[in-house]
Amino acid sequence: MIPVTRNHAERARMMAALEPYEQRLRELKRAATTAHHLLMAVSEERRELISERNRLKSYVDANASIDNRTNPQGLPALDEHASVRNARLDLAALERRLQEVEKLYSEAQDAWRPQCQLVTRCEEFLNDHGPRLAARA
Amino acid sequence: MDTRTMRTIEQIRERIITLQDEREELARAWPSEMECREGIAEHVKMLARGGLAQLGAADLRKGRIDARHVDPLCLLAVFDPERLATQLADMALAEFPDPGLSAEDRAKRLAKLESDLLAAEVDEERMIRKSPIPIIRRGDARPEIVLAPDLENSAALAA
Repeated sequence: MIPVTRNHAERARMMAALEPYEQRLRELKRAATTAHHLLMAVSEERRELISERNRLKSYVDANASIDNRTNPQGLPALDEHASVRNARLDLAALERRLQEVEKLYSEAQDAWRPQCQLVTRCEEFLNDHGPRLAARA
Repeated sequence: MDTRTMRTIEQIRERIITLQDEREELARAWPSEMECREGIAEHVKMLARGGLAQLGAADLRKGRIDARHVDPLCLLAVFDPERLATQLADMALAEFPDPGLSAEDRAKRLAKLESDLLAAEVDEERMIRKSPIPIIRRGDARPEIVLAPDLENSAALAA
C-alpha cells in the first residue's frame, strides 16, 4: 500500500508543479483553435465565391456573342442583353471581393500555421521534459 | 502604444534571426589547422586498420603479403601513415585557407550566442505577454520560454 500512496502523492505533486505550464499550453491551444476557426470561415467563403465566379463566368462566356444577337423581328434581344450585362457586373464585383478574400485567406493561413506548429512543439516539450520541470519546481 | 509594441517586437525578431544566422554560420565554420591535422591523422589510422584487415593480419605475420586486392590509400596508410596524413592535411588546408576556429573558441562563441539568443527570445515573449493586442508567436519559438510561467528566471530557462 505504501508505494502506491507514495506514487499517488508524487504524481499529484508533479501535476501541481506542471499546472502553470499546462495552463499556458491550454491558452496557446485556444489561440490556435480560434485562428483555425477563422481560417475555416474564410476558406468557406473563398470556396463559395470561386464556385459562384465559375458559374457566372461560364454564363458570360456562353453568351459572349449576345451583343450581336437579335430577336425574330430583327431587333436587339434586350432582355437577354440585360441579363448578361447584369451577370458581367456581378462577375466584376465578385472578382473584387474574391481578391479581398484571397488576401484574408493568406493572412489567416499565416496566423494559423505558426500557432499550430508551436502548439505541437510545446506538447512535445512537455511530454519530454515534464518530469524535469516538475522536479525543478 | 500598439504600433510601438509591434515595432519593438519586429526589432527583437530581426535580432533573433540575425543571431540564429550567426549560430548556423558558426556551426559551418572550419576547424583550426591543428584540429584539421588531428582529424585527418585519425582518419588515416582508420584507413590503416581497414588496410590491415584487407591484407589479413595472419598472412602478414607469416610474411606473406598479397596487396593486389587492397585499396591503395589503405596500403599507404599502413606503411607510411605520417606522410599520408601530412600530405592530405596540406592539400585540405591549401584548398581551404580559412584560418578556422578551435573547439574552445567555437564553444565560447556558441555560449555567448546562445545566451544572447535566449535573452532576445525572453524579451520577445515578455513583450507579447504585455501587449494589449494578441500577437502571433513565431512557429519556432522555444517552448521552454513560451510555456514558462515566470520569465524573470531566465537562467533557469537555459538549464
